[in-house]
This record gives sequence, structure tokens and C-alpha cells, in this order.
Amino acid sequence: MNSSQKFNFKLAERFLEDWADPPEDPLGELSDFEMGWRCFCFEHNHKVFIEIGDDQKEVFLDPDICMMIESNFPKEIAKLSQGQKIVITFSESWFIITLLPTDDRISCILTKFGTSGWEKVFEFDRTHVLDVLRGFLQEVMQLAVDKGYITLFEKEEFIRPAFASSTDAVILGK
Amino acid sequence: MAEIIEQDIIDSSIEVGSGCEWKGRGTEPQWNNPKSTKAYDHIARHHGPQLKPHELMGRSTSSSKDQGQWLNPNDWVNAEQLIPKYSGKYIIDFQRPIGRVYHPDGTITESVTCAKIKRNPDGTLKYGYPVVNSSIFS
Repeated sequence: MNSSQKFNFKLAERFLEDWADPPEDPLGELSDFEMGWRCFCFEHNHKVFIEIGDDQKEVFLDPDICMMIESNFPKEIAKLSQGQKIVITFSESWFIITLLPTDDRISCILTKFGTSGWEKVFEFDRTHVLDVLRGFLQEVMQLAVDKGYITLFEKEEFIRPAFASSTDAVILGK
Repeated sequence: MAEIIEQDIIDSSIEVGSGCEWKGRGTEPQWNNPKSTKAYDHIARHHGPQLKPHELMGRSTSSSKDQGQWLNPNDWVNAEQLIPKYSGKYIIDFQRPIGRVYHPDGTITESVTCAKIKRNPDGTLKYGYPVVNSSIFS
């Protein structure tokens, strides 16, 4: 197991190539917020660097982060803060991050799948991991607000679960 | 006859998907319509037959990952009907060509028969794309 503080989600430069069609909802099944979020990720696509120990993964707002956040990401952060294991799957980039809290630490398993596979295990400070995930969530959702794709109210409602139990990690860690 | 060749069921206590009671948010998706964004999420946009070769090649080269493309949208509807009604990950072999796979080195494998699918806890599909037979399941 690698013990390291290097756990980071970093919003990087704009990515201007189109690899997919614009988001559509021909049957009118999605809410304004859901469509706004998808359109933001597509029209303001960025690279995102995920640093885990000595590994760095390059992913994109569309589709990787778009799908991660749509998968109840704020509630997943809340689960993690309450001591439960969470699994973040980057299906389009072929890797999985499993976060397992134990006291004030978090075990992180980075799993690569696809045509070849491997697994690496790291350990991080629990508060640091929660701060990184909450900070990244706040940053990208605020950018969607600033660019006019979702409202401030929608953003605050959506991310609230991630911050509702922000003291849990400290309490549980004692 | 299609066959599930690998599976990782996450929750076998609740049956979800087409034909089951809808327990997700809002109204039930139109399972039989491949254009259902709610049921099939990003599949059409990122792996649909309408995508041009340069889009999939570009994504494969830049990401250094294979990129699968469906030949027919109705096959992701078929996949939803064929996989077990439990949230989890599956590889299904249709035993007939259902797609192609673009590789990072610029080559293309045509007539692939397998697809990797993930079913969400509410029964909708999180992802689904054709894969070559050597793809490692996780």
C-alpha cells in the first residue's frame, strides 16, 4: 500500500474537439437542470486531471465528469463522510476508484480494466479526500452557473447533500 | 441466441428495468424507444451508429482506449431486455455482429458480437458499448 497525500481532481484547460453529438432529449424526459448540466459539459468541455499517488488520469467533463456527477455524486460524498465505501466508475475511461474509510484514513483502490487490467492501493487522509471531492464538485457546478446553464438555486440544491455532513469526518475521526 | 458471458450483480434483491415496477425518479422511461435519454443515457451520444469514424477514432487515439460503436440502436434496447433485471455489470454475446471497435492504433475490429452493459439501481442503463472478446471484465 502506498501512503501518500497526492489525491486531487483538477479542472484543466478547455477541450475543443467534438467527439459526440450535442445532448438531446427528444422525448422530453430530462429536467431543465439535467439538460443544462449536460449542455454545459458538452459546450464547455474541459480536461480534468485526476491525481492518485503516482498515477495521473486524464478525463473530460463530457462524458466522464458529467456521468460521475449525474450518478448522485453529492450523495456519494455524503456516504463517504459517514464512513461508507463508495465506488466511482469511469466507464468511458476504463478505471474505477474505490474509496473505503477507516477512522481518519481512506483506503483508495485504483482499478484499471479494459483490454488489460491492474490494481493499485493507496491510503490518504480522510479529511483531505473529502475536501478535494467537495471542492471539485463546488468548482465545476459553479462554472455551470457562471456560464448560464443552471441556476444558483439548482446548484445549491443539488450539491447540498455533499456538505450537509461536513463535520462527520472530524467527529468520526475522533 | 444471445448469452450473458460475464456478470457482476450488485443488488439481486430488487428487480428493475423494463417490465418491472418503476421506482426511479419522475415518470417511467420509454424502454422500447432507443432514443430514451432516461433509459439509455449517454449510449446514443457516445456510441451510436450516427457517429462519424473520425469522432470515434479521435476519442480512441486521444484516450488510448478502445471505442465501441453500435450498428443498430435497437440492439441497446435488446440488451436491456436480455440482461438480468438486477443492477450490475454484464457482458452479453449476441452471437451476431452488433458493432465495431476502434482501437488507439487506428485499426478497427468489425463485426464484434459482445457488448458491455451496466444497469443502474433504477434499472436504466448507465453505459453500454460493443467490446472485443478479449476485454477484461471489471
